[in-house]
Parts: sequence; structure tokens; C-alpha cells
Amino acid sequence: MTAMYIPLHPLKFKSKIVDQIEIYKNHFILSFTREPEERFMAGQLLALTTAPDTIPPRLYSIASAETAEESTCYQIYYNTTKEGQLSNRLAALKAGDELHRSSPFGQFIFPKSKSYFIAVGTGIAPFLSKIKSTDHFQEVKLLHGAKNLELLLGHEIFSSKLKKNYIPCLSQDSAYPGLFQGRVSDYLQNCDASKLPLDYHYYLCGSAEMVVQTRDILLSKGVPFNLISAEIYF
Amino acid sequence: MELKKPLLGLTLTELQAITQEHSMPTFAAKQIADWIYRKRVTSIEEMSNLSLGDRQKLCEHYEIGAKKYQHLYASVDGTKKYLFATTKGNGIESALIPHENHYTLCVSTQVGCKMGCLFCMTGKQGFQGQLSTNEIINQIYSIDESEQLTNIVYMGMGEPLDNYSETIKSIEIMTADYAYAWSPKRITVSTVGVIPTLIRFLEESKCNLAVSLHSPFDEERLQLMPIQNVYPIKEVIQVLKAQKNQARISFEYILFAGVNDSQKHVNELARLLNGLSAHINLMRFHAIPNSPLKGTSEEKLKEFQSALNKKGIITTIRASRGEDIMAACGLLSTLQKQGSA
Repeated sequence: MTAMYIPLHPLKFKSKIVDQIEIYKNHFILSFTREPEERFMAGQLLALTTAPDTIPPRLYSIASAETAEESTCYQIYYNTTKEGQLSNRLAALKAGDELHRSSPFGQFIFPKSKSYFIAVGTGIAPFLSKIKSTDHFQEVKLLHGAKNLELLLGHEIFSSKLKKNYIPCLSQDSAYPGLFQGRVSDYLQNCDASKLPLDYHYYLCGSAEMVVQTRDILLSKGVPFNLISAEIYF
Repeated sequence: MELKKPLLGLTLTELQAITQEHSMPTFAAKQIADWIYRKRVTSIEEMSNLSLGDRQKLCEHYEIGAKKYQHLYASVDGTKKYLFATTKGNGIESALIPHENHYTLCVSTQVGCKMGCLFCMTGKQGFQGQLSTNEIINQIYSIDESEQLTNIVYMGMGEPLDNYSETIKSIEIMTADYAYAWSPKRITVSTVGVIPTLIRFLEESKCNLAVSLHSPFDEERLQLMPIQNVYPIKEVIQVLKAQKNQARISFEYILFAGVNDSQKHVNELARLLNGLSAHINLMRFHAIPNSPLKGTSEEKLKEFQSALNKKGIITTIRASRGEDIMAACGLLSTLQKQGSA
């Protein structure tokens, strides 16, 4: 009798592609239309696909600002892989093409203050959405890792809004001596435990490996597990 | 040189595609299935009711594809842990749990896992890849007790419903008349609650389902199980409540001291599961290295069971097995991967 169950995230919208930018090899920002009355909270996801009958939808964090005044379309940040059934089709979309999507959903949402965001690669999307959406931050820190500066999506916005509370890490690009050279995990391993406040909540976003490794380091530095929430790219 | 493909792990439909491709009689597919799954031949040459020409055609491109385990660890309590190498060179684990005249095998469906649960060792490997149906069935086929098995539980490394197509094919092979013809009641699939494939599983399979619950509170479950962000337990329960056959559903609940073992949790579990005729399996926590979690005391465990029973929820305590051989899923292979076992 599963027919009685109505999925809470049906693909009830068709969105038109507004823009697609390849910011670096195989890394894309896809913009598509949003219904004027739609609201979401930074950290939420969209289920989307190009062909609902043949390609199962996948979930993407919204990277655009919460308010329609700031952003009249949705943006997602994704990369393609050889095996990626949907991502390669997304990469082929052009302005005017359509995709099928759900309403925004998900529980990975954060307060305006006392938040320590940690992200690697495309995992920056929920935090980019949050920081784009807010002007006045109180005690928000962001530890942001990528291979090189091109992949450090949003670093200009973060530097401008978070100032010293923004810590960019480049794992394969030594051309910027002002930035931390190494992975996010290297930064945390070398970080004095006193710099990891115990009155903040830690939000992690990235691959399973990144989240588990980062969580283990935080735990080893004395951060209690109930101060850590994570979003994994399933 | 072309690598030969394994026949073990192919469904009847897939075998029929092969026989058709090689202009073999249609009935040959059933014969091949019979040789592999029932007669357990070790080579294609032994399939004596296939013509010599057909056997030769098969041998050119295929092999049986069974692989012996690499290591075997035996516990003092009779539990055994088998380690297999995958085609990509990773290690996967299967645990055999004997109990009286029952032999239950806990099989893996992925190398590593994407779910990142705080209490699980497999997640510490990250996600290394999906297992093929061949690699799932091989765990069942190649252990010493293969022909004595009475139950299979998909509770080893990985999330079975995150490798749905291979999991469901392996279940077909276990239950179909052309292969092992097991009753689906002897098979249990464990999941954190990946809703899209959970819905498919409930429609397509009659096997038992065990849902990892571990906390009835959203925020607390989120800290233990990141999947809660995407597929909250309340939505999982909503899917399950729409099921007619709820007797096949159970919930797994590991008790962590001071975290999820209070009366408040009992009350909320009763509220959450109200209207479902499912039962709860309470589990002791197999400690993993550097975990911030500790197992609940025996006394508290029994109190918790009794409190749930008083609320009308049938609750059992699962026996801990094989701790001396690191039988908890992913523990041994992860420590080996990290170079400390």
C-alpha cells in the first residue's frame, strides 16, 4: 500500500535554465528559475533531474541567496564525474532548457550567530547561500577548503563579509602565500584547541570522507559531538 | 586479453541475454543457473547438459566467478569474520553468527559507506565504491558454512539501499526458484532510511526490513546520523505506516549512555511508532576507537526494554557477538586500512 504514501518532495516544478558557468574544469554553477512565491532557508536542498522517467533525481544544496530580492533564481554548484548519470546531463544544459525539481526541503539549517562552518569543494553551497543572504553576522566563522583559488567559490564574498573569520585553505595551489596551504584537515590538526570555541555549533558539509575525518579531528580537540552537525553528499 | 566475466551473481534474465547473444537454446539459461547456484560447479566445463560447443562459447568470455575469502577470524563465541578482496582491491567483511541450529550471515553491500554515522566504523573509510551482485552473492557462496546458512542480514559494510540495483538483484538470486529459492522471510535488509529506494524496496521485495532509528528526536538523530538532514525519521515512519505488512518491519536502536537512553526517549519512541505494529531491537554499542559515545549499562538496557514493553512496544535485546574478532561492521577492515590491526 505504498501508493498511499505521497512523497513530500515530488518533482512538481519545471524550471528554465537561466545560465550555466563552468568555473573550472568540470565544476559548474547552474542557475534556473524560481517561483516568485517560493521561500527556502539556506542549507536546504532541491531534488532535481533532467528526465524524471528515466534518470532518478539527485539532491543538490541551494547556493543562491534566500530572499527573492537578492536572487530571483536558484543556483547549485556541482561537479561532473565520469560515472555521473545526471551531472553530465546537467552540464549539457543551456539557457532556455528545462529541468524538473522539487520544492526546497531539508533540516540542515543554521542560526545567524555562533556558527562555525566547515566546507570543502562543492560542500560550500549551503554556507554560500547563508552568507549571501545575511549582512550582519555575529560570531560566524568559515573554514573553506578547495584545491585551488578558482574552486574556492565565493571567497570574495566571504572575505568581504566575514573578514578575519574567513579561513581559506588551498590544498594544491601555493601561489597565494597569504592563504593557508593545505587541507582543511591539516588546518584543524594544527589548530590550537583553544581556537575551537565550545559555545559555537559546528556545521560540516562535504563528502563522507571529509565529514568523518573533520568530525573526528574536532572530537579529538575536545568539541562535544552534540555541537557538530553534518551534511554529507549522499 | 579480455577479462572473463563472472556468471555467479547473474539473474535469470541476464543469463538469458547471454544465451541469446551466443545463439544457445533458451532453456540453457535455467540450466546454467542450476549448475551455478544449486549444483555449485567450480567450472563451466562441468555443466554437462550443455553442448560442448556451448560450453566452449561460454568459456571464452565467462567464468564461474567465485572467489575464496582472504582471511578468516574466529571468535571464542563461535562468530566468524570473513574478509574478502573486491575486484578493485579493497577489503570487505562478512560476519557469520551461529546460534543453536541457526547460521546467520551478515553481508556487505558497499566498500566503505557514505552515511557517516557517528557510531559506525565503516564510515571512517569514506566511500570507496559499490559492490557488484557477484561480490554480494560471493560472500554467501564462498564461506565455509554456505550450505548451512539459515538467514541473511544485509547489515555489513555499507547502506544496502544506496546500492539498490545490486542489492535487489542479489535478493532475487537468493529467493528465486531458478537459484536458491529461499523464503524472503529469512532475509533482512537494514537501512538508515533512504526514502526513494525504501519505497521501491517495500514495493518490490517481501524481505524483512530493519530501520536504524537510534533516536526519536530530530536534532539528536542528526548528530548521530547525518542522513536525518535529507530523510528525517518522521518521513521514514510515514512511509512505513502506509505498509500493509508491518510485521516484517523492525527498528534498530543502539543505546548510548546519557544520550538516547532516558524515559524521555521511551515516551517519544512510543509517540513516533504509535500505529505501527513493528518491534524494536535494542543493541549494545560495540565500542569503536576514539568514539565520544559509550554503551549504556546492562541495568539501564534492561530498564529501557521494560519501559518500552510497558508502552506496548515489543522490544528485544540483541546479544553481542564476536567482540574479540572486531565483528562490528567495518571495524576490522577499517583498522586494517588505517594500518592499526
